[in-house]
Amino acid sequence: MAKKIVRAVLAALLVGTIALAATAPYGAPGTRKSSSITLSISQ
Amino acid sequence: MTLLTLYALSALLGLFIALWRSPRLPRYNLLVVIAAVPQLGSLLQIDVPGMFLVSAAGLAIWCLSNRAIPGVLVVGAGALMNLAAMALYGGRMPITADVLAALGQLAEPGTHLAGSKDVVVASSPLWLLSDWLIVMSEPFVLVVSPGDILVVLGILLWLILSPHEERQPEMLTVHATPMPVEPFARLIPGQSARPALTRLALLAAANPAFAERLLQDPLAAAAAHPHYHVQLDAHDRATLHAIRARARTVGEFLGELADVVDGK
Repeated sequence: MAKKIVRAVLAALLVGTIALAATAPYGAPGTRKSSSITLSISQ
Repeated sequence: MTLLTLYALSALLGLFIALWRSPRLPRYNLLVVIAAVPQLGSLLQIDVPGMFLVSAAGLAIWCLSNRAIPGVLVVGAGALMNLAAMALYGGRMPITADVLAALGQLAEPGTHLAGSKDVVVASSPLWLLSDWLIVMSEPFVLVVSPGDILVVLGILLWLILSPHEERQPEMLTVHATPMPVEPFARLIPGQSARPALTRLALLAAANPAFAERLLQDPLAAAAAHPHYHVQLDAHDRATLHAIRARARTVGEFLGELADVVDGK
């Protein structure tokens, strides 16, 4: 069982490393559109 | 940092699948680590000229070394598609301004997008290989290339279709030392005047362990065969004694026994 867990951890590390090395997606936090309030002061 | 989170999540998903399927681990994985270093630098906006070639070479050698593992060649094909597009832009993945505009983001061509490997372009001759497939929009934007999809598909194929074969435990293996080949005399087909000795010769030819026992003590071995009772008369016993006195090996014993059985 311990061997299986160690192998799974190694496989997981390899998955992350392959993804980092071989993929190039574009990911970013979105820019939420927010409503703006305009105040005008008239004298 | 969002892409690093995505990579961490994919590793976590890989952990669960690996616990379920226990995949075969590829070899020479240090090559993948070497290939990942320049890509990590690119994510962190650290561009070192020529390092892109290190990534390409590392991945190519790793894929070729592990081509027998299901999915690895698919990963290689996806990586090749990505690297081909990136090679045109100094190691950065092109993304057109139109795609960004569709996401509500404005950027001038030539801009390096922070936290990714992408560079904004007005158009690209290899736009089909660039990042243009919008997987997610708000609140987390994710745009991938066809190569990215192939890489993910290849990783899944590797994790699911290459189960690790457990080695047979040592206790269950049989350690048998092969017996030296000796020139056994062949019995001539036909009726023999010595049926009891014929039976002994056939049993010894079929079972080397029984032949060894015959060489040590022919009368006891003949009397104590676990499956076949061989009735020896006085003439047979005398013959066996005589052969036993002359023979030094199992081959010599059986050769002489065969000669007697054949009436030579």
